[in-house]
Amino acid sequence: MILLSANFYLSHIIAYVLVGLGFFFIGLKFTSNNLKQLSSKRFRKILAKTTDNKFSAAGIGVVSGAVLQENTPLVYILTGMVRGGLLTNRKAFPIINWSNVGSATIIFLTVFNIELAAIYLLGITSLSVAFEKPKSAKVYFNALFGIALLLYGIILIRENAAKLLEFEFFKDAISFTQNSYLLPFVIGVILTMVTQSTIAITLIAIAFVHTGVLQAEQTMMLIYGCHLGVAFLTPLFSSGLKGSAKHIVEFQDLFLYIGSILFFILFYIEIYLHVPLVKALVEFLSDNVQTQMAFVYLIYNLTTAIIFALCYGRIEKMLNKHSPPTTEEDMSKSKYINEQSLEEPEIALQLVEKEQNRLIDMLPVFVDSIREVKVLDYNLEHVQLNRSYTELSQEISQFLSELVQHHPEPETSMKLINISNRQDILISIGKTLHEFVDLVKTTSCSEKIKSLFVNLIESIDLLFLMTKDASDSMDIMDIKMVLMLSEDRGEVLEKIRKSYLSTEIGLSLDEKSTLLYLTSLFERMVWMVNRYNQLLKTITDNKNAEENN
Amino acid sequence: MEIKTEKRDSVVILSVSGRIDVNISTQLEKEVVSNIESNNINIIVDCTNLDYISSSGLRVLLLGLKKTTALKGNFILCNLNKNIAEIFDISGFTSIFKICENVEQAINSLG
Repeated sequence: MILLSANFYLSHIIAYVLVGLGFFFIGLKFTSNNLKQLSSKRFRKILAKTTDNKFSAAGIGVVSGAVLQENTPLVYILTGMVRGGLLTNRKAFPIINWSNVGSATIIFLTVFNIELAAIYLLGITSLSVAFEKPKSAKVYFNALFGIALLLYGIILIRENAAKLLEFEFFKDAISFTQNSYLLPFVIGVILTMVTQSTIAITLIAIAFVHTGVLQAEQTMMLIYGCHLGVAFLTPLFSSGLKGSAKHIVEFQDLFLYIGSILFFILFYIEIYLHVPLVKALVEFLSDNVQTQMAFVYLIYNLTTAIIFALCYGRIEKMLNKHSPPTTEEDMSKSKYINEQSLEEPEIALQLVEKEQNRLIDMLPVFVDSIREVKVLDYNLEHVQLNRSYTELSQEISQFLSELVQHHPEPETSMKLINISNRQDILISIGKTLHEFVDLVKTTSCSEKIKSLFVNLIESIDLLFLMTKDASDSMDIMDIKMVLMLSEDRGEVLEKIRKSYLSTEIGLSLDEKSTLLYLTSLFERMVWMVNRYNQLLKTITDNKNAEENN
Repeated sequence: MEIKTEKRDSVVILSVSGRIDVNISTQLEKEVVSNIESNNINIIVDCTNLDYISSSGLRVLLLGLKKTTALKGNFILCNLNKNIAEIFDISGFTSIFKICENVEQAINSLG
C-alpha cells in the first residue's frame, strides 16, 4: 500500500515536471514567434537608423537580446539585412555582441519570486488570447501570454523537481554526477543541441540548482556548456551562406567559442588553484544560489562582450580572411560613394558616375550568362547578378536622394538631375535585361529561331560595350557612335518579325509569342541606351560650351 | 577563324571566315589597326565565309570605321550572308557602314 502510494506520488511529480517543461517550451515558442512578427518591419527600421553610433548599436543589441531572448533569430535578421544592403557587418557586430548581454534579462526575471505575478499574468493574457481582445494589441498580449506560460512552467518545474530528492533512486542517480564538473558541461552542450536554446537549458538548470538536484559549480559548467552547444549547431543553419554574409554568424560563433573556453579555464583555475574568480564574485554579489547562477550567465556574456567590443576591427579582418566576400557581394557593394563625400556635391557626383559605370560594366556579364560558351570569367547566374545590380542601384539612388538634401549649387543641380535621370534609366535597363535573359534561359526554342536570339543577344551586348566606352571616355565621337547605333529600330525589327512569323518558317505558337516579347524587350533596351547616351551628350556639350566660353 | 589579307592598289581586302568570337576579335583588331597604322585607310571586309560574329567582333568593325573615317578613309563591308546581314541590321550597322554586294562593287564605290 505504502509502495503504491509512493509510485503514485512519483508519477504525480513527474507529470507536473513534464507539464512544467511543456508550458515552458510552448511559452518560449509563443513568445519568440509573436515577437518576431512584431520585430520584423519596425525592428529593421530602427536597426538601420541607429547603428551609425557604436553606443546606440550596443543599446539596441541589449534591448533586442532582452526582447528576443535567444539571439539566434537576431543573427539571421541581421544577416538578412546585411545581404539586403541595409546594414554593414561592421555596424551589425555591436548589436549582436551586446544582444548576448541582453539575453540575461529573462534569466534574472525568473529567479525572483514572481509566482503570484506570473499567475495573474497568465490569467489575464490567456483571457485576452481566448477572446482575441484587444485586437490592436493582439501580438503584444500573445507575446505576454508566452512569457506567462514560460514563467509558470518554471514554477512547476521548480516546485516539483525538489520533491524528487525525497526518492532514494534519484539521489543515487544524482550522486553519479556529484563529483563531476565535466559531465554537466557535456550535458549542457548536448541538451542545447537538442533543444536549440541556451536560455531554456539555463533556466531549467537554475530551477534544479534551487532544489538541490544540481550543485552550484555543476550548474556553472552546464551554463558554459550550453553556450558552446549553440555554436556547434551553427553549421546546420548557415550552410547556405557564403562570403561576408556569413560573418555575423561566424562572429557569434567566435563569441561562444572564446567565451566557453575562457570560462571553462577560469572555472578549473578557481576550483583547483583556489584563485577567487567567477564563483567568488557571484557569491559576493548574492546569497541566493539562483541569483548567483543568473550572475554567472551575465558575467559570461558581459566579459566576452567587452573583450569583443575592443577588437571589432581585428575580428572583421580575421573573418574577411576566413570567408572573403564573393564576386556577387563585391559587385553589389558601392566602391566610391560614401557619406563624407555628400558634403562636396561636385565630387560626390563624380563618384556616382564611377558607380554608374560599374553598373554598366555588369550589363555584359548579364548577357554572358546566357551565352552557350561564356566569354567572361564571371561564373554567376543571372539571378545573382540581378541581385547585385539591384542592390548597387538602390544604394546609388539612395545616395542621390540624400545629395539633393545638401542643396547643391545651380550648376551642380543640373548635373545632379542629369545623373539621376541616367540612374533611372540604368535601373530600367537592368530590369528589362533581367526579363530578357530570364526569357531566353527559360524558353526552349528550335534552331529556326535560335540564330535570331543569338543575334539579338550580341547586338544588345554591343550597345552595352559601346556605352561603357562612351561613359569611360566621355568622348563626343564615341557618344555619337552609340547614338547612331541605337536609333529607332522599329522598322528593322518589324521586318524581322514578319519574316519569322510567316508560315514558311513554321514556328510554334510558343515560339511566336517568345519572339514578339523578346524583340519588344530588345527594342525597349535600345531606346533606353539611346536615352542614356543623349544624357551623356548633354553633359559633354555643356562641358565643351564652358571650355569655349 | 581565318583572316586573309590581300592588297589591291591602295585598297586592303580582309577576308574573314568562320566565327569571330572574343578571342578571334583580338586577332582581327590587330590586323585592322596594323593596316591603318601602315596608312592603308581604305579597307574592305569580305564576309563571304563568315558564319557568326560576336559583340566584340562587331566592336572591332566599329573601331575600324572610326579610325579610317578620322583619316578620311573608307571601311566597307561586303558579301553578307543572311545571318550576318540580320545581325548587322539589328545592330544598326546598315545605317552606319557602307555595305556592298561584293568586293568588286566595294572597290568601284571607292572611285
